[in-house]
Amino acid sequence: MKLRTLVYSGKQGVKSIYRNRLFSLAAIGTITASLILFGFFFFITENLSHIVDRLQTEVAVSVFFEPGASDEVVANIKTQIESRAEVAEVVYISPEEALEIYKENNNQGEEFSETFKDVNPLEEYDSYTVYLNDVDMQESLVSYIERLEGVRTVKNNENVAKNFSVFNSAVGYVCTAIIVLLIGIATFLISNTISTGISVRAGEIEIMKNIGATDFFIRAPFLVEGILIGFLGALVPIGILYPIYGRIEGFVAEKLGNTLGGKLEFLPVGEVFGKMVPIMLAIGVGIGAIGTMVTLRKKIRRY
Amino acid sequence: MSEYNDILNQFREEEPPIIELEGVSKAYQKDVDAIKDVSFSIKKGEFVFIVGKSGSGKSTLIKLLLRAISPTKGKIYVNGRELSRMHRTSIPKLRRKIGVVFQDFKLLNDRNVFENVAFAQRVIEKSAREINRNVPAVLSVVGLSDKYNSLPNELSGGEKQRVAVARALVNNPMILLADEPTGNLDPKNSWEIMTLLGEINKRGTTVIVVTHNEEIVNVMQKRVIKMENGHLVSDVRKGGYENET
Ligand SMILES: Nc1ncnc2c1ncn2[C@@H]1O[C@H](COP(=O)(O)OP(=O)(O)OP(=O)(O)O)[C@@H](O)[C@H]1O
Ligand SMILES: [Mg+2]
Repeated sequence: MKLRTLVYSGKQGVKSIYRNRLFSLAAIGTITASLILFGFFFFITENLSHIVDRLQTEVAVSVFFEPGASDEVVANIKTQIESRAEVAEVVYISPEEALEIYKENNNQGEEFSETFKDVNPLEEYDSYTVYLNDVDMQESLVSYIERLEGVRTVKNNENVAKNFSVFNSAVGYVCTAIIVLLIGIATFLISNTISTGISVRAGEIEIMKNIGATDFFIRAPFLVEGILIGFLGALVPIGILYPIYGRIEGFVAEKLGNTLGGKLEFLPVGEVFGKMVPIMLAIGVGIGAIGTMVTLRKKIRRY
Repeated sequence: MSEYNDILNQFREEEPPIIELEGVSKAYQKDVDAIKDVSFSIKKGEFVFIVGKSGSGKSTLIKLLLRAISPTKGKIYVNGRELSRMHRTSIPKLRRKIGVVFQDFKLLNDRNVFENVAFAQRVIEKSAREINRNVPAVLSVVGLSDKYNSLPNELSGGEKQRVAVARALVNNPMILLADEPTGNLDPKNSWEIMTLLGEINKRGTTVIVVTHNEEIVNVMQKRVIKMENGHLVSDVRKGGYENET
């Protein structure tokens, strides 16, 4: 293909968008709407999984031993827990440490230490704290540990991360359904726009065929049109979402920064958009190209 | 001179025909033949009229030659190549060898005379330099040198058809097909267009004209192929509109 053909097709495509501006705008608008929705979905899921990741470092399971379990048995339990993939770390908490943690958590003063100076009521309550790298595996890990020899009880800590994770996938399903629907409508609208363009230019297409234009030459302007519509449909939501996200992220950092032990933090704008922009452009251009090619195949006879 | 002519004509006889139909039939619907078992051949440089009543299959012949449609039976050769064996991607190359003109001109109404003719060159990816050389040359051949900037709706029927002829010629085709080029024109303009087609033929282009214009056919005394109900009923070397078979 010659450069001037590319230029020609480009010009014709742009002209056609303008001539067909009502349809073009409807198509661009629908793509914009679906991608804005996609953008919010993307922000929510990306940030939730970011938060889940951070919360996960806090998720722990406490494992207490049978009274009088030998050091060997206790060590054995550790080895077996560590062999699991979802386990990040196993930390031993001695009775003294347990007492100290209790004191901290319950704001007890010096007289508390005085009272239990000689007798530690938690003498039999040394334990392992098991940190996970995958919240979703918590239940299966707990039932695994419960069956180990020498284990008395396993205490499941409150699981915020787990709830986040469930919420995250629910958001995912709903948004995916809506986005698929909108993308379907957008493809239909692009197809309609191209169809109209083909009808308007039916005479011209016939002349081109008679003169000996190649199939590609005839189709290229329509492809430019469709792809450009898709591209614009992706550019607009990116432009709209960028400042919005920046504000939300700033707000979260400022107002909610201390919730959930400082773990509620949004990903920086650059990181989210670095991932999202190429995906959005690909979706926009993809909708444009596919919608156009399907229509061309239906509406323009090959030679 | 006359001995040269004979030698040249003999040479022409041996030259393969530029167009040849062998037992060609075309049925748009099953068992309804628009043309039936038509055979003829046309040599390079000939001028041929195709005449016949409405619905006799004249336009069907033109479409077959352009490979806009394919025959249901028989073979068509253009410039030595059989059309049905031609690959899809070679069809544009075939059409670049053939210029075509229709009764309804088929001009682009949003573009001026120059752009309508230049369009034919742009479509086959000619450079701006070539376009600026070829378009004025061909517009002068059809006598429209002073109308470059006119839009089609500012032209008379005869002028519109000249633009269409210029567009058909600008890519320098070997063959010019005209399907009722004077169908929408008054007698004066009809004569001008036919004379123009005759001149183009004298420059070496093979010209095939479908027409209902008896007077012109009778006066010009060219080869006449007559169609009737899809059959070729007469083919006369120098004839008039109504020939005995
Ligand atoms: N696309 C088509 N589908 C079905 N039948 C067709 C089609 N085109 C032409 N025909 C039929 O084929 C026959 C020949 O048509 P054609 O157009 O070749 O006639 P013609 O000689 O050019 O007539 P006219 O002088 O009116 O232009 C006619 O009976 C016509 O109805
Ligand atoms: Mg006809």
